[in-house]
Amino acid sequence: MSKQKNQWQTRLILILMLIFIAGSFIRLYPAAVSDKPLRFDTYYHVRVAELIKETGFIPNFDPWPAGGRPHTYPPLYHISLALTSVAFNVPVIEVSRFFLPVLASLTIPVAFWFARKFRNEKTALIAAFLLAISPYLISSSYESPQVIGLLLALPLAYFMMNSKYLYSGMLVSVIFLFNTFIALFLSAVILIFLLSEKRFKAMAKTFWVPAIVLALFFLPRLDAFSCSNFWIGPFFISKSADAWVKFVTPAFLAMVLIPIALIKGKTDRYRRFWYAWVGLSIVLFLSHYLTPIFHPWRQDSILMFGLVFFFAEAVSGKDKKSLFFLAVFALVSLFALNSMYHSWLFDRPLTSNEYSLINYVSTLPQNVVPLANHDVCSNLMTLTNRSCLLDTNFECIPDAKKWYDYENFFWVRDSEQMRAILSAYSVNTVAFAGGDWAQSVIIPLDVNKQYSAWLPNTPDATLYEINIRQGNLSYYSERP
Amino acid sequence: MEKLELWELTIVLSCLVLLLIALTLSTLPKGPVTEAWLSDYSTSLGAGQNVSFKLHLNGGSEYEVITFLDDEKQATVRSNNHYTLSFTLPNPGQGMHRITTRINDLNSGDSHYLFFTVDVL
Repeated sequence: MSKQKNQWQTRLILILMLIFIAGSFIRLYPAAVSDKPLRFDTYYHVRVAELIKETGFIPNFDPWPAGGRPHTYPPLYHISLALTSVAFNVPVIEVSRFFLPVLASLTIPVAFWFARKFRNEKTALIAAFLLAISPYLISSSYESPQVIGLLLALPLAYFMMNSKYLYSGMLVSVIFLFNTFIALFLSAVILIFLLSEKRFKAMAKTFWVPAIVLALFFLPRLDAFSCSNFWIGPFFISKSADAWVKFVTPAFLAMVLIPIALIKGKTDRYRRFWYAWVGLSIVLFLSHYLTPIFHPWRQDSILMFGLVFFFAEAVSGKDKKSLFFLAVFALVSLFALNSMYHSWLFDRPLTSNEYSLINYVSTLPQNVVPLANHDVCSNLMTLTNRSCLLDTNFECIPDAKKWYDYENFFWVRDSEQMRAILSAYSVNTVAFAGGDWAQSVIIPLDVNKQYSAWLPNTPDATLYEINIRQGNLSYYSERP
Repeated sequence: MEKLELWELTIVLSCLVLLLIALTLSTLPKGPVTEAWLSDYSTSLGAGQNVSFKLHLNGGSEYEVITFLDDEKQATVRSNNHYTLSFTLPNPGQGMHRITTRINDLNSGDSHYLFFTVDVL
């Protein structure tokens, strides 16, 4: 019996190690082969971290975008990047390539530890495995410190289930200092969880520390909230659920309903916690039919994280049905991952010709501030220290109508819409990445295609100068 | 050691496939970049003034450069990499005109173009 147990332990450790190595490798390899960070958000975080490294603090108003902008992003991610950069004596941008994928990889053994605490080793191993191969979680390992929130959510849930509410609250505070959104999401999950158990005192014990931390952070920055009205308004009105949200809805609903149908036995605290997590995630996802205010990509990753534990429990039985669903889940994940692993999601945000465009813009006079998409702007601002009209500073948008128009510019269908945006904000230069399909829409306007860079068989990256004559932008002709 | 159970085998095989997928990662195209840009052009001209501009090419191929005044072909020049070409075209007459340079990459067969819009008073 003891020999059998030892054999099982050895096998368990070997399989867990294999899961960890495979899960880490698939996360770290794209970061290692790319010479730059993979997501445009990272370029913004790098700028803030570099500022901390140089000056030792983050000003309330960002100095880099024209006119300044309130800075409400919590500082711990930027501080961590800056400190790691100092400790290892490597540039912040290099640290940023690996920081989040390393932490995302660490989630795999932590998930095993967590699930084993409340369930058995088989369920824990399956949870670690599902987390390691989830295409959603792999592809979201690069851009946002929400990854850190997901990692810390597991010890937080551990404390919560062991009624250590103060510790849970302290972890919520730490997570908040990395990223507000994930902290708010976790707070809502905790709230639903504790409400379902009618533990009102526990709520007070959990939330008094985060409430103080939140107040200490935001009270000196109250002026920053003035822009949130502008920010929320147009987002509610101007967009509806996109085709992608409609396409994946049945799959997401099935992924929630299948484990619910398979799970047997009484609902304990562990299961109740994941019910709250998955329930809230799917509600937020479905809210895309009313408003896209909750970031669809991020929300999906959070949903998938909860489903990992849900699914692990559902397919850890000894019957053939469990094995069938485990195999199907693995096959579907690997197939989806194989399809998307060769896409732009796993490469630096711009192609070589687009980086040539950025170098060219950096040689132009300082008063040339182009309108460009997020990827181009974030790279331009971080790599060349130049300004760009659509910067990546999401946390506070002083003029959301303008910001939304800039974003919409790259998706307009006719030249008149484009002309209206260019005229309204006196834009004098536009930089197009190869993938900006509205590139052809600008041609009938009175513009100069001043610069073009290309690779074999890829669309051109271009720079257009806008001709404003007597205060107006007109058409060159109606010719395409 | 005992044989792996089917669920363990599923995990082990999937992890091996996962490693295989990671190793097949190909990056976005990073071949030779060709850059072309215009300089020394004016977007408004007086009557009788000629149109002049420069085209700069920076790439690793052979190119054929054709200039157009609106839709009318003006000149054809063959060029290789790292080159600056100067052009002077006759005054096109009053109104808005578009001066286009089409760059044919003779190695890849691709065509690219630049242009500027000039208002002749």
